[in-house]
Amino acid sequence: MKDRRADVENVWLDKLDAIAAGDEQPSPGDDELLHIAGRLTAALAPLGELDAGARTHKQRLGSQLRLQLAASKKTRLVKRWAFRSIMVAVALLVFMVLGPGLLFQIVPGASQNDHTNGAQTQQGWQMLALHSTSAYTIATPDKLTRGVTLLLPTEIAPDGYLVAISIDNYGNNVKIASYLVYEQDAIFYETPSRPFPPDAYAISVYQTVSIGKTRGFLYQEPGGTNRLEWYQAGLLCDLVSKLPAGQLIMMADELHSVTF
Amino acid sequence: MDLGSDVSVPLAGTRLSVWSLPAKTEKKSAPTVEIGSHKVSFDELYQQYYERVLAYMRFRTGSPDAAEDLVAQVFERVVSHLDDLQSPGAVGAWLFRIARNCAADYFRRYRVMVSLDTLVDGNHPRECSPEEELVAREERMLLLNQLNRLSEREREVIGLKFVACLQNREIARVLHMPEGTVGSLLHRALSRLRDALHDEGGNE
Repeated sequence: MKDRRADVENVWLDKLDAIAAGDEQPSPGDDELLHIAGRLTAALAPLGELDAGARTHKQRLGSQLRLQLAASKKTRLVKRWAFRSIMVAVALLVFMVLGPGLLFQIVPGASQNDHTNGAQTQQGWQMLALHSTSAYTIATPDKLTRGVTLLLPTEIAPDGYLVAISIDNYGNNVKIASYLVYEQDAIFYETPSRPFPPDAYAISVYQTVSIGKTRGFLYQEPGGTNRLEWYQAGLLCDLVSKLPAGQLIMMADELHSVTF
Repeated sequence: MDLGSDVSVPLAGTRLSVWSLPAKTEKKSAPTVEIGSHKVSFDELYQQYYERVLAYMRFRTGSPDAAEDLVAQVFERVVSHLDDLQSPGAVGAWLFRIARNCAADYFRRYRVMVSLDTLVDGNHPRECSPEEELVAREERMLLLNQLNRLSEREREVIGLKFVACLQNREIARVLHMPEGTVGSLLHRALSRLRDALHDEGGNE
């Protein structure tokens, strides 16, 4: 009985939808309310009609909004990258300042490792007491998710780098993983991403350099630190070090893509 | 590398405080907006909803001039909050929630009393004979007068249904109420309208 009543209600509501949308007219067999709905639809229809003045307003507003949208697209792009950068910066700050933790580090040959104080050995990895962060999950390469592609140094022993992963939520809860690869004197950030827009580096502080066949962008920070940025293998790469720029470019050129 | 001492390596992502993108000539193609994983042409969105939002604002304010200003506000908010939108299926409800908020701001600011009577002599761009025009005008006057007697809530749901042409599901999202309640409200509003028309002797 209840189901039958619900069916009748649904049919009535569907009919009302069709009348309100102007798709149907009430038929003689319909109840009085649907007929009133039909009269209401007809009476209110002219509210959406445009006279010459309204058409001009629509056209002018549309043009303004298109310009505004084009400008806000750039702003959103900047905001997105700024947000990502801030998140990574905060994560690293926490990583370096707060709470003790362990980070796996392998140096090219244990004998060359200067960080022996407090170090432990586990599965062939030299574990060094370092500051940890809740934002970054420390992982050895063999524990990376299958299919992850990273750029890694070639001229360093397999255990000569360490990896940390940060997974952040961005707008619309899109999860983005950032990877850190620490080399001897440099920090290397890799984030799977779409390429930068071509305009992103078209400012004078960036110097365009060639990393093999790839175009890179070099920026010297006021403290003397060099920052080399480029896009390769689906990764947004950021190599940061106080080493000379030429050496950074060589290091970048020696990286190769590894899929785990 | 000992990260625990004398760390002078800059933090990730501290590229530049201002990411200045040089001004470029605008592309000729129509701008698109990304909603979730979908790309939607802004022009299509605008063309699809402009008239409906305008009609809704005319209905809510009773003033064609105020309605145009409010439509501009609505679409400006749409442009600046596009990132909040997650699914193209939710565009209608999202856009009319913005419209409803803009209308509420307008009423808070100006404390105007709305009378729909002013809309009787509104736009009549459709061609019809003087007799048809007269009949249509009287019908509109009658119905708009009776709509003035409905409660604010009932008028709102009538506006979203018959002017904005939203589905009950979308109205439920706009008004933050269950879909079933929307159906009940519509039924009650139409019943009250019928009774009012009977009282006026307008439903012959």
